[in-house]
Amino acid sequence: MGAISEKDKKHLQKIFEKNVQTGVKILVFTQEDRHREIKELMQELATTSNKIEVELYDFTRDSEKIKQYNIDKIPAIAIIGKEDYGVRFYGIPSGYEFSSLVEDIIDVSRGTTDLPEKIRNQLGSINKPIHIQVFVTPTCPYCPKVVRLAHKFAIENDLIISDMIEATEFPNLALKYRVMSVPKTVINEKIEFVGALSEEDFLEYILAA
Amino acid sequence: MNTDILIIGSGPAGIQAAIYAARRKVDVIILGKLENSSLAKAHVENYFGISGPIVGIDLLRVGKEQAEKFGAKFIEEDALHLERKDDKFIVKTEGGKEVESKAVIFAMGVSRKKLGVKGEQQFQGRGVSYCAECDCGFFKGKKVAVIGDGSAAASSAILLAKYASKVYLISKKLSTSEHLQDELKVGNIEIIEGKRISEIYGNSAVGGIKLDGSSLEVEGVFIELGSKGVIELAVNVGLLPDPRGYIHVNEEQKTSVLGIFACGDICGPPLQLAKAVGEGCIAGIEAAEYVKRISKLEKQTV
Repeated sequence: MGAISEKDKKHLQKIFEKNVQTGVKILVFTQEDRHREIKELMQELATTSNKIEVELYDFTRDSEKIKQYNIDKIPAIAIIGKEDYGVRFYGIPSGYEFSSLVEDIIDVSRGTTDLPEKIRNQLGSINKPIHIQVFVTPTCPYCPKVVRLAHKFAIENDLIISDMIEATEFPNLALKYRVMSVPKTVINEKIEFVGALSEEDFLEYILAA
Repeated sequence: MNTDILIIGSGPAGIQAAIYAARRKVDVIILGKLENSSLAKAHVENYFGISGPIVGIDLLRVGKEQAEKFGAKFIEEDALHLERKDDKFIVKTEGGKEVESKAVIFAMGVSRKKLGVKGEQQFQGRGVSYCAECDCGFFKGKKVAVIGDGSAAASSAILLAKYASKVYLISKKLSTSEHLQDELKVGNIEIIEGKRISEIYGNSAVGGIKLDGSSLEVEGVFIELGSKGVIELAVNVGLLPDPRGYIHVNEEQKTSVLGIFACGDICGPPLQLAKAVGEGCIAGIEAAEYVKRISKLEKQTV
């Protein structure tokens, strides 16, 4: 153990205590003897709040859960609140992305986000499935902004599923989507953009997908 | 090195903040190069009390003397890295110095990030990158070019040399610290000075660049002009600029992170000298008050 320092744990305890409302489940999908790092990180994170629970699933054995949560690659994390909002992480949310994970847990526990009402209304009008994939690297300071927006959109609309994908952990996907710069966002396999955008501009792309 | 207040950026906002803070008897260190301020080359004629146009660099030089007279210390180097350590902030400079400070004032302005050459926009995300830290991993074993004259270009070339097979550092005239220049002496870094890049070419992704008419084959082009930008320095301490790259402050020029203040162009438009100076004044006063308050608390607890 020791994935999170004692000082950071204290800090996390404080912010979770203050901000986490209802219970949150972190579902971790891995393969038995692999991905120790992500399992340890999530289990340690869960020790900082009695409202956060971790469930470990095996990619080969727990096929029902894999199907239920639409997991197609590992390691994967699904953050579940009162319902499954479609918030996913593929690869370890380390480096700058750890903050995305922490903020997502808080939003999922509340089932709502701080997006402006105008944006939320527009999101509400989306009536077809939207799949957002955000490619990141742990050393990218611009990436959490995009990941967070994609996840907030997912929380606000049941039809939106948003994945953070750590590009260096999934080189084949990075190749497939020609990722050479991060953050790179792909919406419904047909629209893509590089870089951080404002809420309005990101939403425009979703509406166009 | 220890100080009470560290100011990043030596333009009008930073220097004005230094003047006000130093007069309040706190230790002030200010980082940056006068000639890199966007004011340096400007002809000023809309600033209070100035009748004819005056060249910005002259104003900056007088401002520096003023600040020094009141006790502020200038280090003419760029900040490369900022982090929090307990209740203090640590800044690493391009010269390899470490400065520990109780408060930090962001006054580094906004810098031009784009090169403005043919192909740059077309290949963005397909080989053209503005963030070596973010994208270095995608260029393992490949040839890349880094474009820029300052500390950002030099430090990016050093990072990329760990991944790429070859790094061409292309600069009109490289101007960075000896410390970084020593680190650039790596086998796979080649410095090309005095040549102009006129085009980034390729098919579906970057294939190379044109330098004064001759071609150089590369798969990645990293555009790293000037010094490290606000995002690279800010995120490590939990400060996230808005999508336009500006930092939000309250009326006391305080950011969302305790102990960090911001002033000048970095806080958003209007990008004007008068506004920068006004905000610098407030940031200097408020940062000094903050430092005095926490120093008093420290004494009480001891």
